[in-house]
Amino acid sequence: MADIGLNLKIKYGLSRDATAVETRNWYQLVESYRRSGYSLEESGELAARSILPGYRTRVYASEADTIEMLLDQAKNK
Amino acid sequence: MTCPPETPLWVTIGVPIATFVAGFITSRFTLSRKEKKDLEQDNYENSLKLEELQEKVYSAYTDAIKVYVGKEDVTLDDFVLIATTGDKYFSQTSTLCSAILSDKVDASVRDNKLLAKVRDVAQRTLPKHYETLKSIAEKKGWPYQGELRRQDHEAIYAVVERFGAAPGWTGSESGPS
Repeated sequence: MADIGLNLKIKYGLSRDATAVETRNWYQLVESYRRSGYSLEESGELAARSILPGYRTRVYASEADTIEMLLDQAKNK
Repeated sequence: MTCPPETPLWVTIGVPIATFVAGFITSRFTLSRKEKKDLEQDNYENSLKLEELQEKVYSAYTDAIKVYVGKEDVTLDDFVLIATTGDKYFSQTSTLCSAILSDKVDASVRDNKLLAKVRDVAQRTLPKHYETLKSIAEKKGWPYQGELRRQDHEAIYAVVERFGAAPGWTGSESGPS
């Protein structure tokens, strides 16, 4: 689950990893947006904006940004 | 062929021969329009292939760090996987740099995408990788002798020197000794 939380952090530029509960809630919201006719990408964005922490407050744009952030997490473990 | 009587014989014979030889030599050392186009196409395809390989090693490297970060009880094997996938990532970046140095990549792909990647690796990722691994190993008491040495990543630093560092780079452009 930690891996999904981390992936969500990178994809949606979150301020921290999404927790297991936040990830589950996000997934359920994505499903409900999907049922209302939104595409998968749109549903993911909308759900992330409403419940994930610090949506689009960080940019993990380049390979170096992502690697740096991951190495920091590994170091502080 | 009639020549004015004042034209020396060596000019009459020599000029056409010299023209032929010069034309032959020039054609050997310059590319025809078609050859130039073929070379550009080859370089473009080469750039795409290198980018694809770069993407693969990047995924393997970041996946290894993600596994380490996400695991409760990390082992030496998890740590070694970060070290080895990192080595492969840097080794592939060196291959990409060798292609850049020998003009085997498309110039526009190189300027717009590849150079930024290479500068990041030289200036940020390489030092961070070794520093982090050393710090983890010390904390956990694992044996790790990895060290950032310029000769292990020569092509990467050579590209930064030839094409310039990123703005704001305050470290030594030539990297570690």
